[in-house]
Amino acid sequence: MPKLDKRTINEQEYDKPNMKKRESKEIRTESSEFNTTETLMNLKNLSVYYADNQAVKNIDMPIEKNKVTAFIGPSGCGKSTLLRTINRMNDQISVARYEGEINYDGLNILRKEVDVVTLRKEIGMVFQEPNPFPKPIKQNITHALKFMKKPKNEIEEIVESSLKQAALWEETKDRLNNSALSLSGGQQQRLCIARALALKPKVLLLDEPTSALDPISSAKVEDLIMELKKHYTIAVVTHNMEQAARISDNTAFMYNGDLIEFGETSRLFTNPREKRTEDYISGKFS
Amino acid sequence: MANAQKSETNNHRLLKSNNSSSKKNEGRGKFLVFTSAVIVIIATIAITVFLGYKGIRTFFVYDVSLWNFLTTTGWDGTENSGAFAFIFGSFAVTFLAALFAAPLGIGSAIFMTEIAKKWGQKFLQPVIEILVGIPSVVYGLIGVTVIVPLIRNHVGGLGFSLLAGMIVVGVMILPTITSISADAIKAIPSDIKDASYGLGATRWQTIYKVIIPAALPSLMTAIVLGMARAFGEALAVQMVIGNVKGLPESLLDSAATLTSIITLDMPHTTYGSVHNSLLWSLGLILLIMSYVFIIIIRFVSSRRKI
Amino acid sequence: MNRRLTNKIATTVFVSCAVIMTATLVYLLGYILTNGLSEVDMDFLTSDSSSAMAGGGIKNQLWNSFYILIVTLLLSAPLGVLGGIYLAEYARPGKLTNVIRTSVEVLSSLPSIVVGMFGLLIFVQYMGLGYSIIAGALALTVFNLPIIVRVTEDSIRSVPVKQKNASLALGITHWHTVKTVLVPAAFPGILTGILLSAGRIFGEAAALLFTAGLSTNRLQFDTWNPFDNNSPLNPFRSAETLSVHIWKVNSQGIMPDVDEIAAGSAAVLIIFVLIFNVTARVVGNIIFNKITGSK
Repeated sequence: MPKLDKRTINEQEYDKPNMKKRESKEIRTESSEFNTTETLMNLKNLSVYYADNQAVKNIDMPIEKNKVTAFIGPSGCGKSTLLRTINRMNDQISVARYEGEINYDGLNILRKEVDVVTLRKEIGMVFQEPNPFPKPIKQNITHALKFMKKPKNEIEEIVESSLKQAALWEETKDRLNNSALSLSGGQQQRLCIARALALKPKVLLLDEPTSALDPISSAKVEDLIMELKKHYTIAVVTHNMEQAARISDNTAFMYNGDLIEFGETSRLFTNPREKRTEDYISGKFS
Repeated sequence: MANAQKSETNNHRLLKSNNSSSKKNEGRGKFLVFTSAVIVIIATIAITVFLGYKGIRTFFVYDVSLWNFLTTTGWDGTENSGAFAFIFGSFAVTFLAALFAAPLGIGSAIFMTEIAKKWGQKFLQPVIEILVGIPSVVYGLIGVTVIVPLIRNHVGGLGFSLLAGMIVVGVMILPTITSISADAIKAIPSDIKDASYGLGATRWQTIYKVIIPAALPSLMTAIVLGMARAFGEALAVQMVIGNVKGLPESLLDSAATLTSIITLDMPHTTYGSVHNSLLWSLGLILLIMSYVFIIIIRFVSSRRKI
Repeated sequence: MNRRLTNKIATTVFVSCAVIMTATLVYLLGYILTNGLSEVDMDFLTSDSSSAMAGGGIKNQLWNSFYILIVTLLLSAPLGVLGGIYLAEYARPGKLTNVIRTSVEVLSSLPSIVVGMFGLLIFVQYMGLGYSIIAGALALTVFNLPIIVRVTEDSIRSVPVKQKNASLALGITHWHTVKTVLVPAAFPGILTGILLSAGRIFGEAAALLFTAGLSTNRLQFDTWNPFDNNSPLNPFRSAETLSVHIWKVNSQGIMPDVDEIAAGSAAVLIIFVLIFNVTARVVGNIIFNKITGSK
């Protein structure tokens, strides 16, 4: 199994993060068994259109607090669109339009009156391809903080704490003023996560965060996700079903804009209720 | 998380009304860039309206006959002046210049992009782009000091002639045509060319049957842009064409163009005189022609396939 | 056999096209430089021009060219960059945007003599600026604006969209994203475009004939009060630039060394234009490497 290979490489070359992984695995089992669930966000009859083309169709589902929710499905099934709707990044596309509601903290965040700028501070996003600013590592993190006019001493603290949270501090603390582009792909992606964490968001949206990375870097990012869900609610879009199975608590399977099945990951992968889910996770189509 | 805020959805921290500072910042920026864009429109409208007004006045205030103005020759600064000789001169210079600059320019572009690719793109293209930027007075000066004597001594006539104008303007638009054509040919996807070579076609066959047809609309655009530049060029032409106000009978005769007459006469006419007004009408013809060239370019490039 | 022959002939034709073109253009440049540079010395660059006697220089013309260039860039660069930002980032497809785009196209294809006539009408006469540096710079702004708008729009559009997304997803406003992410990333392209346009402005003459005028006061380079008529800094005085000087000397000059002055001025003009062009490319590349290069 390729999965096993990955782990061996991991153990040989990256002892430390692997220790963390074991810990976080334990926490995961605990939390899914004993924690009560609390809904942070509720999607109600949500549809997204690009001009006349309905990309997301009447979806109802919750996103639970301090859990990892994975969105899986074949390319073009609408999972990325759905994710980009949650922080209103789809507003960028002039033909995009929404119907239905996303209720978050007592507010339908799809309302016109919502300030998307403030919303995006609370709902951070990390993209498929690492996209650090072509600036020094440190400035990647301070960029947004300066815009928000945080005091200087606080900024210094946040730089350190967010890089630590993203498990990047040890690798970068001596070269914070080097260009972020000098980092490896995996490090860049963790920097992007650190950059989002610096704003102390409540939700983190990850759009195929490991698809542009090599297996070792991917494993590191996965470890990080497991670690982060203690403090953050995470929604992740992934092509990689093994990844979804490894890191998520809940999984939503989408197909052609419809939400086919939603449920606890362990149940959905072992005992899918829908035929199409079963076909997809068993690799009959992709 | 779900606390007291829940019911007050009109006073939520995520609503715009509670985040006015970012909105203000955004609004100011938007206003700034929008104003700048509007200034571009204002400038264009102002030029069109003022030149149109000044140019048309000739035919209403001074009772100059439009038909007479466009079709007769004889330029004495009175109501009976006709501009046909200058219109003819402008078109003659433009077409003759394009006639030799277009094949030469496109041929060179093909050389640069298809025959000597490395050398062409590393060395020739930057040099040509730099030549596009050479000021037109310099071309005019070379015309006066090199081309005019050359024509006078080896071909005949005074040297200051339609031929000299055509050569100077042709050389001037040569880098423009070459550079745009080269870009157009480079933009053709290489798989189209590879397919042709793969079928055993020679380079010439590929150029003739594949590259030229595929790039044709863009090549036409390059030529029309060159012609537009030639039509509007003032000083380089004025310096070598001789500025005689009658119709030329041969290429070796002196002639005049719309631009050369404006350049020469403008400083000598008094504001408000018929003569002055006639010059504004010549300017209006130039303006109308530059709209015409834009329309032609739009028409040609709408047929672009790649 | 026939096929090969045609191919050979065609290749020869293309090669000769390139040879003819290159030879012509190299000859032109070489002619101007060899002919002109022998006339150029310190004295030529630093003495006043003369209207009837031999031995005139181009000090004032050179100064005027740079002065007008700087004023023009001060006016057109900010305006053009902002306009370009609007088209790249804020314009929504529709009628208004089409009108703006058409306007940019019209302005950029106007013959410069037409721009000069417009300048004469509006800036010189209606606004009462007279033949002046400021009127000339305003006319050249009309002429330069569309170029900077285009270059800015293209440079901003070529910034990868992931950069913009990164900033927006961090809860940064669109305008702040433009200022701190998009414009810095597009800067090498914009700067290259501005420097290239500087070369064009420096060489432009037709638009200045009726706006900046054909004469210059005897400038006193120790009078820096901008309101003094003989001050080099006075923006309201008429100012003959180097390119206008070449034209004027050639068509109206009566001094015995007309040819030498024209040749020398042309060489100086060409050298500055080349400097602008080459700097544009070099600076653009350097900054580009600095921004994208690692470390």
